[in-house]
Amino acid sequence: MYFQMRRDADQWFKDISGSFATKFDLYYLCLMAGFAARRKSELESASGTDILDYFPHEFRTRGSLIISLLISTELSVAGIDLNERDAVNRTISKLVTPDTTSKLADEGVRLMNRYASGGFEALIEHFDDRPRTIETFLRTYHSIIERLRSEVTASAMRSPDV
Amino acid sequence: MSSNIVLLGWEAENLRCPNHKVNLVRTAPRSVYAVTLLQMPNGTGKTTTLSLLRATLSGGAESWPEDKIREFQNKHAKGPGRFIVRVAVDDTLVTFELTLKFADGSVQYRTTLGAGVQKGFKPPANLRRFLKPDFVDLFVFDGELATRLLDSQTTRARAALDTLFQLPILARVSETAEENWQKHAMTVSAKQEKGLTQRKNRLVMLEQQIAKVKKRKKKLEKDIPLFKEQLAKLQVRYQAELGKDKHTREELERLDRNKVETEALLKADVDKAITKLRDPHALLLEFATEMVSLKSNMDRLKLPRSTAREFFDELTNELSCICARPMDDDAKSAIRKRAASYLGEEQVGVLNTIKSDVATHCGDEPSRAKTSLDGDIKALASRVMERDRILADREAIEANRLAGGNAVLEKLKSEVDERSAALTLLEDELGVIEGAAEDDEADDTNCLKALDDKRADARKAVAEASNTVTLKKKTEILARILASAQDAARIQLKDRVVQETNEKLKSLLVREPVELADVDESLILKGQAGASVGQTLAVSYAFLATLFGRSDYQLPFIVDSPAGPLDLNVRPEVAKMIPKLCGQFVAFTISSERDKFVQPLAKAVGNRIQYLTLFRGSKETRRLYKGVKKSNVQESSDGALITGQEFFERFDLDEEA
Repeated sequence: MYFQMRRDADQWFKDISGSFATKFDLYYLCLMAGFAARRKSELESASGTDILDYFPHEFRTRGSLIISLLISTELSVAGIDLNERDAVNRTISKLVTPDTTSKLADEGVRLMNRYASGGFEALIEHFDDRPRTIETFLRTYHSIIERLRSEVTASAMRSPDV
Repeated sequence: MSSNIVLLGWEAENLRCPNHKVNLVRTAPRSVYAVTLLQMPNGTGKTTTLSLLRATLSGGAESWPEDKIREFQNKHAKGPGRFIVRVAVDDTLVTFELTLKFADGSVQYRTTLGAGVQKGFKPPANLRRFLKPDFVDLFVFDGELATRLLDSQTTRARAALDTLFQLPILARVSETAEENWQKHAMTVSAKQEKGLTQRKNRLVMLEQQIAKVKKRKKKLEKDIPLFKEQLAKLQVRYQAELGKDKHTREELERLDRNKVETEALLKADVDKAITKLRDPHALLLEFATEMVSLKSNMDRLKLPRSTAREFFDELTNELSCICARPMDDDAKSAIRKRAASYLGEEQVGVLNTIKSDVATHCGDEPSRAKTSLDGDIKALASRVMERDRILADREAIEANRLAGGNAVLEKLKSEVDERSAALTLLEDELGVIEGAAEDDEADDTNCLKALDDKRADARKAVAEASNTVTLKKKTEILARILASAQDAARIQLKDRVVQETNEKLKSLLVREPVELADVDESLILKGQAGASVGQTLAVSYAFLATLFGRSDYQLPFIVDSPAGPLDLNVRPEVAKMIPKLCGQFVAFTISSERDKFVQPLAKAVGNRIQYLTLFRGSKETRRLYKGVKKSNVQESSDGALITGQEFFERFDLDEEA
């Protein structure tokens, strides 16, 4: 199964995509926004483009870290405490497999695609306009990721039961 | 069927290059020279000649605006300019003649095929797909094209692959099948189904809209580069006028130098930040904390469990459980159910790798990566401010000069502004055409993606109403098969092209190795976003050599400054590769390119090489070819073309200056 990028993201990133070595970079930026905001959205196969089914060279050493973030985010969103041994085991066995190059099971990739899609929506909402220059984008993105997480924390504090 | 396309020669008259006639055919034995080196000193009109070669071979001048046409005018000559190119396709002679009428800013083409002369640019059918502006750029080649092959914003590399291996034929078969279905659907009587006419009309309207938008897209794709070119020229004139005053010029030059330096540093800052950004724990401290917490909790709970799922699976095959109770169906079912919450042996291995990577990257000091990225982003912000300050200083000087009441400057400034605004409008329009579809697009939208979706819906509606659903389904299946055949063919061709290109690159770039990773829309290098000028040129040569070598069509290869940007150590390797690149190689060179290039090239092709030197003629330059055999000298009203290796090699850089 492929990492999938939303088609509308291509258009949104078009002025800065040339600054990145791979399209997976753009996917990663959306994914991290999704993890920071704990936000995922449905991505229908027709509205996404296949990128890769493995972590590209630039991310090879980071693949494990991305997977561990997927696990911890998913556990947190599902309200599973890290002490719940069986539930943690079940979640991991659903997401991870030794049989793919990425070490992610189909369910793991599907979930990553949903977080990347949700992250893209979060980026659109927080950027005034689509990015035109890479130097401005990097600075804004850097601060927006912090803001997305603060919003999650603030919302959790407002409704501690959720 | 394979074909051999050979460039026989060309003539130029009343143009910005000297009047000249180049013949690429040798008399005994009668065949085309494998290599022709045409040495033209700077200022002789090398770029003009190459542009005209491209335009004459592609029909591209038909879209030139008047001012671009007039740029080719020789100010000292009267009458129209003329550029004639002779080509042989297998045994058929084809002549393309381009006339530039400077008086009214128009162009005219004439094509001679065998004995028949036709008005217009009319290449024979088997040549048509090659003699188009985009493709001609591939075999009449310069450094700019080399850069474009590696530019991710362009589709040159993929287009070259598609055209040369005729992949679009599959799409055309698909279109023909589609037309066939439409013909059937449209001939069904309107009485048969209620609302059929309405559905047909919508489909026709959408087809018309798509055709209209595609035509507009094609025009925009042609106009935008022309607008950019004109804008660049206007900017050069504006900058020259702005810097007429010595003090202002020096100040502007200083600021421009600073700007170039700052932008280079900014680019390095951006690349550094992008690399660090790829560490999730550098983005957010909470990411680091979460990863570390996941790892340490797993350690504490002894996860993954050392007992793997396989143990329980095997246990259910035993007669009794390890607690000595009999293994009945209930026990088997309970154990299998619970085994699912244990990980398999290999999954355990994956998880241990993840834990170990988390410990390596975030274990000791989780905040280090974040602190480092924060610092880089701060440095980036300072650099942007520095660059903006330089730009503001420049703008202030401009504003000051404009306030001084210089009418010429004001006029140029307003022309630059107008042209920039017009260019932005065109680019925005193209952006809408190529952009993603919005949710609520109308049928007369200009967004091609939305129109494609709408057309698919409309086709389905017509098929349902006209009882041609089966034919439509068959047509769709055929389209899918053809599309997948095209994808499969492209993937296989890409793999082979990448492999062969890399083989060539290994011997070309020993000291500065670079590897091709993929041919997507553009050429993608392995592990690096950009390449040096020399690397770019070498990669392009290797790619085109592979492409041309695998095609059924032999094409000439005409190159501007083939060795110019290459390091001296790479030149002999490129020179040795050139005879394998194509059957005919024509290079426009300057004298500084001879070093380490011409000799290995001559050695590689034997005596099938021709040396030509073209320069502007005057009384002073006649002394240059004093003593050269008359039969080797071709004089025209404003230039001289000398044939021969000896003259070619002694033609000196000093003379050029």
